[in-house]
Amino acid sequence: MAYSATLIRGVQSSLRRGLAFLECQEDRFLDARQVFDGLTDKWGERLRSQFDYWLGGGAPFDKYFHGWQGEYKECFAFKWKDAGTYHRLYGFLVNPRPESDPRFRVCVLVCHDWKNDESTDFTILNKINRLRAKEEVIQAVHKLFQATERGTRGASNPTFGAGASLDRRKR
Amino acid sequence: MEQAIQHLEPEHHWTAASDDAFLHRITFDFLTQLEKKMESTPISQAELAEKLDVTESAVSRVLNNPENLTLRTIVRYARAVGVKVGLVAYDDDDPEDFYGPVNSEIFSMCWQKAGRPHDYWELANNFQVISVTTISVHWIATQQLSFPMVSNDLDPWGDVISLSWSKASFEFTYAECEVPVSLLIDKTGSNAIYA
Repeated sequence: MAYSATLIRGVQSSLRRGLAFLECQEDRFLDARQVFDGLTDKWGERLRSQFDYWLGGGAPFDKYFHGWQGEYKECFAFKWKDAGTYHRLYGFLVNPRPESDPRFRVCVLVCHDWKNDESTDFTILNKINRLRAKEEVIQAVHKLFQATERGTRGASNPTFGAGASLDRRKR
Repeated sequence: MEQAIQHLEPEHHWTAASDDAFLHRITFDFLTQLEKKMESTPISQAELAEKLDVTESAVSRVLNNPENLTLRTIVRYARAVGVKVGLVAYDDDDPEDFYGPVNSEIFSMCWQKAGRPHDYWELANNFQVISVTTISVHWIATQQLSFPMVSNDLDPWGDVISLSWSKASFEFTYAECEVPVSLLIDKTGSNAIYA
């Protein structure tokens, strides 16, 4: 299957963290991008604010996102609650630049789920664990973030077209 | 709003799309600080509602709808949880909004790191105390050493304001650390002792 990783327009990587969606036309499990794009303005802004908070290195705050331990330690979820329904965007953490930038971590969002309580559905996490081990998935994420290597903040972005580096440390 | 974001130049931050988007982000930051304070105190939504003389659902609506916050509500809620609130105007060399707002918690942390000054004199005094750190590296063995990292989170070249070395030692003065730090390297160069 052909996997691709895409950035979120207007959501900028930081020096240490990045965010992307994993997409695949043939795999309907990967619906995170579709759900995110269909959010109302209010929830779109809310999620983007939560993304910013995580990207900026904000201290762990369970209301917005969390990970797991043990065999699921690379799994990650952004969360919100709307009218009594608990929503989750599930994904996984990965370092796409292990050699050149070992501290850079990306959250790759994969799928959406909703439920009426806070319990974790481990079948989803198991699927994510299998997915993140696939070579095609690893390649898709590495390709996106190695291409944006110079860019942490506001660098050229192959998904949206090239732009000048705006890395403020170089000013 | 989504349409406005999709029409942004790719390098722009999403808050560049509209005043409302920017407002949403900064009120979100405020509510995050507020909820963290509620968590650490701790103070429940019910207790906050009682302090404010409103219903719990009214509190929940405020906490979940940053776009509807007014300055008056911000001040009321901040005071109710025992914190103050300020409006900060700053120039981050980003008038076109490529990077989005600086999180308000960053300003709060900087203020704490500066010794929590209440006026300009306190600020000046506090900076005299904390702004400079001298790091000395004493060579015990004559060998090539890689540059010592102060910690994982500091770029050692970022704020170096003076640098000197000799056969026996190496010294640089580093801005923005709180206490003097010296570092010894043993004969193998592999163990560093910070004092």
